[in-house]
Amino acid sequence: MGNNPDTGKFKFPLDLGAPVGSLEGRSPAVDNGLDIPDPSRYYSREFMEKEWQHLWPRVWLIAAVTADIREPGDFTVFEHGHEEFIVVRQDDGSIKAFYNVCSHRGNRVCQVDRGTASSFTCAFHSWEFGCNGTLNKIVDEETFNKKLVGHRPGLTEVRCETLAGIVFINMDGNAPPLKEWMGLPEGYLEAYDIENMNLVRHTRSEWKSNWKTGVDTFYESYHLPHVHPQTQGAIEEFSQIDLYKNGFGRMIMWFGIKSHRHPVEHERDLDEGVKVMLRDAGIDLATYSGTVADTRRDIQIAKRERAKRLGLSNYERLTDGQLSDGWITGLFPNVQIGMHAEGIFIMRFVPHPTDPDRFFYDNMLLYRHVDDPNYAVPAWMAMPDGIDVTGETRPDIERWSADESPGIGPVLIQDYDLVAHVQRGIKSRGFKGPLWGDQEARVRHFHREVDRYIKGEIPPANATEGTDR
Amino acid sequence: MTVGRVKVAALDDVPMNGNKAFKINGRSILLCKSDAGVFALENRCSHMFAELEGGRVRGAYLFCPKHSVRFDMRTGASGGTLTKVPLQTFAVTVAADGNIEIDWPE
Repeated sequence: MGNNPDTGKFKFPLDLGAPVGSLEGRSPAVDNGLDIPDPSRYYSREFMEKEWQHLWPRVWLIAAVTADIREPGDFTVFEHGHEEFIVVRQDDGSIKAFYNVCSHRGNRVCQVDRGTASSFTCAFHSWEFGCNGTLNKIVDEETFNKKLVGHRPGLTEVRCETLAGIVFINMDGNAPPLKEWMGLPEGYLEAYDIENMNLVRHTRSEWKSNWKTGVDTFYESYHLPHVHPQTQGAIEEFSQIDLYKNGFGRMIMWFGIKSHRHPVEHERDLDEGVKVMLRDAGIDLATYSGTVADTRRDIQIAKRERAKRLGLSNYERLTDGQLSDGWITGLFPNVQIGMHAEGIFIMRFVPHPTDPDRFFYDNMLLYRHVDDPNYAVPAWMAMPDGIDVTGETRPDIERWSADESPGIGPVLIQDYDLVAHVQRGIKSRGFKGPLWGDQEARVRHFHREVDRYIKGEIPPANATEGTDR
Repeated sequence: MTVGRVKVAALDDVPMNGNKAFKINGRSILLCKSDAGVFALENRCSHMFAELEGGRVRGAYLFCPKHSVRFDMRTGASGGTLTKVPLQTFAVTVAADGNIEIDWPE
């Protein structure tokens, strides 16, 4: 079995040769020029303010996953910079989102991360709001002039739409509908059956850089051999890079194969990381006879057969490549999703409320539980021992402040350490701006789209209620 | 005051995935019932002292109806950051006659 190419012939860009127009196919070429942006975008308060004027209020942001709000009254709070939103499942099954702000004095109405409720009571003066945002009760209402409260000021609603088990909000009343704005090809997210996954781990750590420094790091695999050398035995860093509309992008990374840079001593020179991936696919290493050229393909075959045996119908929508590889998917502006057949990582690069030199790295791991002894969370996902992956328990968010080393696994820690140094260097008088190469095309594509908003190339929408700061 | 095992209510008096408060020895005790079992806790949130009766029950967890603080009904432990003070819990026995009894400490 096995048809992996000779790793010695690898060249960038990786081209899987999938049909153009298919989900796996290469996107049409995009010319984003060779501009070198001023590095102040990474640290100046002026640029941060511009983002809050022209970018954040106008784009669709991932606010929640439906797995967290399955029943009426289930809610979760989404924090983004200085803004917070309550996302609530309604009695009719729809989902609404509101600014987490009491209409009386501005207090945060909800001060927990998530839960289930019949109503929300502000902790300041106990004004009560329904899950649909209506103002249910004003304590001592007779002491308020009707001119102030006669219009029954409820929670301020924001637009909320759902796609493939992911809930998005948009502060701009005039933004295009989510599906129209979504840069990913139709059916891309849906193929992974995210609705049937459970959120099994949620971490949020404060990193010492601008949110865009974080995005830049995760939007390319060029740094892999240098920052994450331990991955070289099991992941190829030359990716297929696809640039989609509206700043979206994707890189397909081959898993289960040695990097083309990695030495191969002999044909059975299997890396420990590859062995882990073979085992994750249900392959018995004691009897496995494949060579270094077979591993990725054998992982695909084993997972395909296992899915058939277990009746995992969504695998029929996934290509063989999706069973082994990482489809590392960027949702403009601040999300990257590591998409895998067993589960997905939704990584949000959340701007700090006040400090352009900080952001929050928010990582939600969703996993589709299959009750079978031959099926488990892939070991490379670095799940700590003892975590319930059945979906019975929705874990609390694990939080780390900027000066604590977050418990996010050895690979992500390397990124955490890296970005602080990059952020400091970017601010040096000696740095003239980033020089992005072809392997960093997604980074350039992302910044080009940021600039379209900041420079007003996208006509500003009319402000609507609740969209102003 | 009655100590030791105290009868509180009939099992059917407490709605499934819900709760109901009863006065025992001058204190309000909340009985909760879910697929995780039957639980008895003090009917006062340790955050802002709201009554917990009417709060939603989901599995082993009770949510305060005011500010949504989550309590583990098995231990009384709170989740989140609003309070770290656990609720007092009482050991529950469902007697053969279908009554819910709790152990009242001396």
